[in-house]
Amino acid sequence: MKHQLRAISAEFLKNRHSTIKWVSFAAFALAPVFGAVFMILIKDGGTKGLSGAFKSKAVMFSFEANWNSFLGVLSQAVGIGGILIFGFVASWLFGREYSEGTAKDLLALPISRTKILNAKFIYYTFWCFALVISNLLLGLLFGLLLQLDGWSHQIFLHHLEIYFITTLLIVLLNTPVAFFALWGKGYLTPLGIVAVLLVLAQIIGAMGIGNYFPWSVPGIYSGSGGEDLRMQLNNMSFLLLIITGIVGYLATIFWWKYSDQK
Amino acid sequence: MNIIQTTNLSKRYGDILAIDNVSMNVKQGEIYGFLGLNGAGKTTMIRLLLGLTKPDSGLCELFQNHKGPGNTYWNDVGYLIETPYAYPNLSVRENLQVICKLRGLVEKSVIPEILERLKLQPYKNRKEKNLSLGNKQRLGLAKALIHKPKLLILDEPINGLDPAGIVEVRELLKELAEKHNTTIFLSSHILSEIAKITSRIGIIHNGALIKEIKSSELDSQIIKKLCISTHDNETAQKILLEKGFEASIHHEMLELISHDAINKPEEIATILVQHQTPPTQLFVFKEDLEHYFLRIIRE
Repeated sequence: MKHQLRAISAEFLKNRHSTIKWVSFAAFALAPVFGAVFMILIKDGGTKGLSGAFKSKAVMFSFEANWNSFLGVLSQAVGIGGILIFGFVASWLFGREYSEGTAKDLLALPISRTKILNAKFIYYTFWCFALVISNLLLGLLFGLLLQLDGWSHQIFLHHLEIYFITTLLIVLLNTPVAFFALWGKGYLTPLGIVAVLLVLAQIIGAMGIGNYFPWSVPGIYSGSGGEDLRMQLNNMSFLLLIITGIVGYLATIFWWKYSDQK
Repeated sequence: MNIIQTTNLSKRYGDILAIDNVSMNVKQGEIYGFLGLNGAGKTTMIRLLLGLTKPDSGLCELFQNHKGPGNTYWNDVGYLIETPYAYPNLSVRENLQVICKLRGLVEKSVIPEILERLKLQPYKNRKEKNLSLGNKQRLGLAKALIHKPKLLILDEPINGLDPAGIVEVRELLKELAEKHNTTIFLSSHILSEIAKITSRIGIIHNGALIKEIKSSELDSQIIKKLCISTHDNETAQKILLEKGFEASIHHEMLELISHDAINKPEEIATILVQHQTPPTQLFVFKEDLEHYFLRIIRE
């Protein structure tokens, strides 16, 4: 345990001055900002004030300028944007050691390679939750400033549950991204993989079979495809996602432990 | 006691035999120089020693053990492989703190000491990305030395250092071996540098260890000859032969390789002058270490 804590502490120190961290927060914060703009537009003129994809979405989900709609938008932003941003975070955290040439310094130490990777996974989880908590706080602030109607603890807790479960699902899904960062020896390969997965999640989701494609599941769960699609999720949907996460984690550990580090 | 021991070690990458049946040992307190051209297999050998790469066949042991990462005995090993990299956004001190955490060292006691030793004190708060190449190399060495390892494995440790830095590192390594009995395995492609500090040299070429030699014996292995040019080399050759000095003619020059001739060129000159074939040129040729190295790998 002492070794694990030391590895975690080293990981926090490594990222102390990372500018990428702030870039990720800024990028992710676009979600509540656009959510708030969305609310302002609806508030002023209903869905008539919207156009394009915004309008069709607002009409489809009967969006109104209230807390229920706004908190829903925040969850959906995590469900879609989280795949990209969390994937970006995982790519960076796991790929940087190769891109910065420091991987070889981590391979012959009195601390095991597994513990070093576990520290990275822990830091990654911490980073992702920090992102969603920051967005939630920002969303609550915007909601208060906009004086949205319809606040209730029940609604808030209901959305909070969806919000954090969506987050957890995406966090689990990025273990294969960590593997591709080690396999590709840098962050470009996993970023490419994230982009492909994001596109596939949209296509497969639109085909109506997204409930069996792990990268579509968080988006569907967050409600971005509507309540009907959400109801299609079943135990198998979540089981496949969890298996993907576990396989990704094990592949990352085994690759780092047993492959040749040229 | 053998600190490094390899037995019939081989490693292949596709069609390339990177390490070819290498058996070698390095004893405690020894500075072993591992010499080879770029691509000869030096870095692969170091990666095998550190367990970063697994051998296809053969055995590789440090401290007469073969243990994977995570074992405390890795705190007896310090290493620097190829270009030293560090976290660019962290300062020198913070980079050392990361290593301290991973090695379980008490930062307050070891960091000031190593900063002082590697003359990095003025740069302790400077970010790695803003360091000069030489100071990056010093930081790499600081990371390898911070835990006072019993074995140091260094791949091209003087790369990027200025002449003063090279002398400092050389003195530091000598001190570690002499005063602290640290075993040092050092790779380089510059024989003249390696010869100044190592006690033994292994030459690797195309993955195979083709020669091992004590540094003290190096001088005797180097070609020395007395080269003479006269207006009539053939007559001069006969005269010298009559006086007991065997000479051969190469590229219109007489070459004598006997110790007597090399050590007393003035006697040879006197003989030739007395026989009316005075030398127009006379000099002792001594093969430099780089030529010696190239000759060995071509043989």
